[in-house]
Amino acid sequence: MGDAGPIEERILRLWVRNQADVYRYVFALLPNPTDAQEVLQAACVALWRKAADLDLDRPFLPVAFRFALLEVRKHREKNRRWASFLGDEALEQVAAERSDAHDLLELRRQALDGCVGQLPPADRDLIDRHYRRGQTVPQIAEETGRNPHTLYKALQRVRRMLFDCVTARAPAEDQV
Amino acid sequence: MTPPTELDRLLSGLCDGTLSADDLRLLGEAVAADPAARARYLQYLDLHAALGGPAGADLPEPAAPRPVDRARRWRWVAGPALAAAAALAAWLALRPGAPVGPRPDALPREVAAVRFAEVWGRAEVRDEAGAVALAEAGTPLRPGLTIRTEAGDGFATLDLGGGSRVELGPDAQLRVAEDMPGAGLRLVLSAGLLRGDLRAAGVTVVTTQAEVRARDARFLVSAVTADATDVEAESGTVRAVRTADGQAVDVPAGSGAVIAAGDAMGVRPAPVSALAPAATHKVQAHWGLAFTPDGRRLVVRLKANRVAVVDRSSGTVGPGPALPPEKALALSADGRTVLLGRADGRVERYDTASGAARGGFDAPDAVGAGYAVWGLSADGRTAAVGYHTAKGPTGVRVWTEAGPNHPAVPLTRAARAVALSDDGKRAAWAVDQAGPRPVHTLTVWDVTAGRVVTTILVPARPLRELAFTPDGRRLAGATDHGAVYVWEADGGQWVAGRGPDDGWARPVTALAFSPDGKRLAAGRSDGRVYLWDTAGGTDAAVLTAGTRPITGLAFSPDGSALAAGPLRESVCVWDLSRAP
Repeated sequence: MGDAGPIEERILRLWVRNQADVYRYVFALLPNPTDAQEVLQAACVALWRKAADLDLDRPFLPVAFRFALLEVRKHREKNRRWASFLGDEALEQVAAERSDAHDLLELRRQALDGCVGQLPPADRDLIDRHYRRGQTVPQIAEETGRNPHTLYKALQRVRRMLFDCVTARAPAEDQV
Repeated sequence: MTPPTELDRLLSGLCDGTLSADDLRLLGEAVAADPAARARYLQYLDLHAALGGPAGADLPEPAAPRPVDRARRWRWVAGPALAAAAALAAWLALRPGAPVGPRPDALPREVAAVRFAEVWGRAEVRDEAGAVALAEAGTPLRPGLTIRTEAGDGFATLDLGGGSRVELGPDAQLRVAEDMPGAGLRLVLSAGLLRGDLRAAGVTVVTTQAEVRARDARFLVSAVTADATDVEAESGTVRAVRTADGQAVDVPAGSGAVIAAGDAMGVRPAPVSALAPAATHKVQAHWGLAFTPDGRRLVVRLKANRVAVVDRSSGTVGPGPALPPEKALALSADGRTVLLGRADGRVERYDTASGAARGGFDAPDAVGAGYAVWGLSADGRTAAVGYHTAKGPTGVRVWTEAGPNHPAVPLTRAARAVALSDDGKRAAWAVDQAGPRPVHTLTVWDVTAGRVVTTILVPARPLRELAFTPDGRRLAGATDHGAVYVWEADGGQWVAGRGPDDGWARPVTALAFSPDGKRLAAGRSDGRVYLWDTAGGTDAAVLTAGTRPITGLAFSPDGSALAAGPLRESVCVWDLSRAP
């Protein structure tokens, strides 16, 4: 990317601070980690290149979302199979609503930590292995001797528990 | 903890990377159609991503695009009426029984490769003992099995080996029988429609009236009943078969396709032509276009509040008048009126030529809704909107120049498509219920009387686009997997239908009737437009406008031209006098 000037340094700092949010935004549009990471990197490069044109006194996240959406569109152009999941029109709708809902989703994310802490030990261990340590279900099945099908069911159940817990703790849409 | 819903199952499968391609498509449809599903999708995915989200969707590799086979077009000879609700319910109530296992060793060698190539909607296979299994692509077939496709939206393609294929339309029943041992296969059609491309020996298609067999690179068509009379052959093709003496009529194989229905069978050429556009205009057609009443100009509704005007004689593209910086909602079919929605909930009509305001109405529920679909009468004086807001109002409402026509019609789920007849006297909206046993409805509304005219059951797939014939007597609806139906607007009777046309169905993203109501153009998400003769049930032409979804589609007032605009691509205009 070349030598970083003051603006580029600010961009990078902002990016590092917000990239997890941007990832979550991209993941809603391309729910595949590999594709989402690829788009995230492309969005970062695009932001860097346009650094001189950006008004960094304005909120950064909407700008980053806009760049990310452009990269999502480009990515879908190259990988048309995504169109079988969400059409172009639906993608725009999801993108707009994801952007609008970001504040609410951020409150839900903040509530998530407390909800994970409330899980029974076995469920917390499953979440820890799968999400924090990145183990696949077959790997967990091999280590724990549990049936993979049972583990998939358990993951589904725990995610639903977390979803309900977060919903109960976080403010509703009309409260934010 | 709340019980898991079908949506939860799909979302969980998405996060675990275990969704099938069909389930992934189903989820995408639910997310696209249902604001509540979309909200849950966003919350669930965000929870997964916030946790660390390792898996995610494992998308299937795209199927290689198949060349357009002119002989593969569905041709509706005399389409079966759409099944009544009771029949649909009975059909849906069938539960798959024990799996029907393949017995390839029981097949004659010539037909050992018979299997389902594609299945759309729902198709079942029943064995001799009555056990039922759902058919899927790849499911093998053997003599003794009976195939049944779902009414309304079920389609199945059978690969017979040796390049031979047959397609079954909705509500069809086909028994697979062995010809003389080792001699081949007989496909006995007892209900519905079949379209076949028979290239190899050893396959005979039989109806109650006639049979067709491929042999030595020729079709042999003959009657199977004594009272059948008359053979009509033109240009080397057979239109219908009523042979009294059982004498075979032969037709070169490969020159057409076998069409079979309950009382007719024939071999027909496929006259579908691919027309090149007569003109292409570089204007980004975002959300609709219309010819002016004199047919000389095209008005294109662009993003935000802008319109562009194309002069057809010179080919020049000019900007429309300056309009207030509000959100454009809809363009009238005469191209004269565009609806703009203000942040305060006010909707104003503007003249696309002068930019002058023509009055409006207050519609805060609709303008402020999270999701809204609009319809306009041809003159732009009557507007209909289906709207939905999470935890807010959901319904449909119609406004005339005099104000709100009637109180809003409350709905439990969002209307996915809304249309108004050209004269503004009929409105229609489509509502769908997502899930493994979806039921979708199409409601026709009498604007003047403020009452429901009819509610039509649309089985299997949700309607995405609606269009009235110019006289308002008929109504077309298209699904997001390529099927198109036409109903009588008053009684709701099914008039005509066509299935996904090339086996790899695409969502229909725009519909328009010709001024005489006899032709229907269906624009798809892949940038192609299918021109369909609804009276004869045949495709007239396939038109390629680009590669993106068609978002604007209009016939010229005299019906001699058709314009189509794919999203963010040039507008194409075809001279329909060159279409067959």
